[in-house]
Amino acid sequence: MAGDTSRASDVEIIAGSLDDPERFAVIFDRHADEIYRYTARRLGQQAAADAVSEVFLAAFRNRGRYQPSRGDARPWLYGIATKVVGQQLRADGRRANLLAVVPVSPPAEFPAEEIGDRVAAEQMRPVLLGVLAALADADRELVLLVAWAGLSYEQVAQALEIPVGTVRSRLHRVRAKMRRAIDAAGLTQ
Amino acid sequence: MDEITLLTAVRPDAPERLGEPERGEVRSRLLAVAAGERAAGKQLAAASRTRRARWTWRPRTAAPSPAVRRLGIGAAAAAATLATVAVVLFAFPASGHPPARTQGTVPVLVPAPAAGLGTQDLTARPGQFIYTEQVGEGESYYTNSQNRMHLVKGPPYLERMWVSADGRRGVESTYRSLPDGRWSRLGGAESLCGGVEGHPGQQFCDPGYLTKLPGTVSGMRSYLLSNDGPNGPAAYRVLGSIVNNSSASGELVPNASYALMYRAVLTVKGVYRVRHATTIAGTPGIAVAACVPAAINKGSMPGFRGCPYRTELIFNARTYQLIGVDYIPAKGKPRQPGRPNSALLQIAVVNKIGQIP
Repeated sequence: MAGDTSRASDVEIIAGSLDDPERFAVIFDRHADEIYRYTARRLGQQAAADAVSEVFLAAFRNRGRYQPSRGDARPWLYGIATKVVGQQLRADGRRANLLAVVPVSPPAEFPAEEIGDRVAAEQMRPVLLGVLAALADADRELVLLVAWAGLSYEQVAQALEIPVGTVRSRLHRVRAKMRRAIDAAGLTQ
Repeated sequence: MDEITLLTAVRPDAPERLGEPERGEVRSRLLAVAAGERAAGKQLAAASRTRRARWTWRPRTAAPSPAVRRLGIGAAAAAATLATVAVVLFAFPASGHPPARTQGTVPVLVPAPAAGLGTQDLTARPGQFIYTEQVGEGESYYTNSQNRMHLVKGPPYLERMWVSADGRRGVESTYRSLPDGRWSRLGGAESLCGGVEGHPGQQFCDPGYLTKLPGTVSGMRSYLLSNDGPNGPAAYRVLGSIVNNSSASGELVPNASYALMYRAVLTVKGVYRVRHATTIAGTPGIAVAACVPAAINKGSMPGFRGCPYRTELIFNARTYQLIGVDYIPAKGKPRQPGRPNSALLQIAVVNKIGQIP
C-alpha cells in the first residue's frame, strides 16, 4: 500500500484502489465493524463474518462503479450488505422467520428516562417483529437501515438507489402498518 | 415514541467489533483477491468507473392500442403496497392467460367511493394539501406463540391522508379499523421531513402534487424504471414506481401524467392489460398487471411455472387515474403476507390537515 491513507476520503481510497488494488483494505479497516454489527443483527453472529467477507469482496469487485459523488462509502456498503443479507436469508429459507432469527436482547441497564420507552418497546416486540416479518422485502430492508443501522433518509436512498422521497413515503406506509398492528394487538404506548 | 423508535428499541444487540481471528481471515481473503487482480493485470479502466449495471430489455408492445391512441389518453396510477422484492414473471403463463380473478378480495363494509371518483383533473396550489381516503384489506403480520409462527390477518381499515402539495407543510394520516374502530392518528411531518416541527412552511418532504413528471412515454418509462431501485425485474419496478408516485401514496398526479404512466408501463415486458377490473371498493376500471411468483426473490425458486399471483393496478377507464391496487392469488393459492389490497375512495385538495372535503 502506498501513501498516507489515514486522512484520505473513501472516494480517494476507492479511486486509488483501481490502480493499487491493495489500497481497498483501508475501506475494510474503516467500515468492517459497522457492517459486521448490521449483518450480525440481521443474520446472527455466526453468519455475520461470512457476510462481511462477501460484502467487501463484492464491493472490491464493483469498485469501478462507485460514484465519486457519493462521498462516504457507508451507504454503498450497506446497499451491498442488504443484498448479501437478503440472499443469505433466502438461501436459508428464513424470510418469514424473523422472530426466530432475531435473538432476544439480554437485559441491560438503561438511563432512567429510557426505561419506560424500552419497556413499552419490549412489550410490543413480538408485534413489531411480526409486522417486520410480513413486510415486503424492499420495505423491510429500508426500515431496518433506518432503525437498526441508523442511516439517514438520504443515506438509505443512496444505499438502495431510490429517491429520498420514496424512502419517506415507504417509511410512512411502514409506520402506518406498525401502528395498525399495535392497535390491533391491543397494545398502547 | 414513534414506530421507528420502537423498532430501534428492540434492535438485537451485536458485538461492537468483528473478532480478531475473523477480521484477519476476512482481510486476508480480500487482500488475496486484490493481489490476484494485480497479478492478472486486471486493473480497471477509468472508463469503467462510470459504467453502471442497467436492466435492459426490448419492449414487447412499444405502442399503445389504437383505441388508446385515438382517445389520446393512457393513464394510470396505483396504490397498494406492492410488497416484496419479488421476482415478477416476465411473460404470460404458458396458457397465455392471466390467472382468473378469485373471490379473495373480500367485500368490506366501507363508505361508497365518492361520486365521480377518478374523473376530475385536480390541481393544487402551494400551501394546500392533497387529501386521499382509501380502504385497505389483507394486511397481515406474524405472531409467535408456542414456538410456532402464525400469520395473523389484520382487519380491513379506512385511511385518510393529507400530504402537503408543495412538500413544505408535512404529511399526516389517520385510520380506523372497519367496521367500527376509532380513528387513530399517525403523525408524519415531524419525523419524516427534515424541517421544524410546528412550523408550517419549513418542512421539507417531497411535494404531494407531482407536476414535474416526464412528458413523453419514453421519458416516463425511464423515470419509472429508475424510481424504484435497481433490483428486481422491470415489471416489478415499474409497478412499484407507480405506487410510489400516485394516489396510492397520497399524491396528486395530473391525468396527463397518469396517461403516460399507463402507456409507458405497457411497454415493459411482463406487464399486460386487464380490460375489466374492479377495486375492493367495487369501482370498475381497467388495469395493468404483472405476474408474481410465489417465491420471494430471484433465484429462490428456480424454474417456477405459471402465474400463481398477479398484482393489478386499477385505473379509471376514462381518465386513467389510479383507483386501486389488488394482489390476486390464483384460485386455490393462499394469500401471501405483505400484499394488501387497497382502493381509493376519494381524492381532493384541501387547505389544512384534518380538513375533510
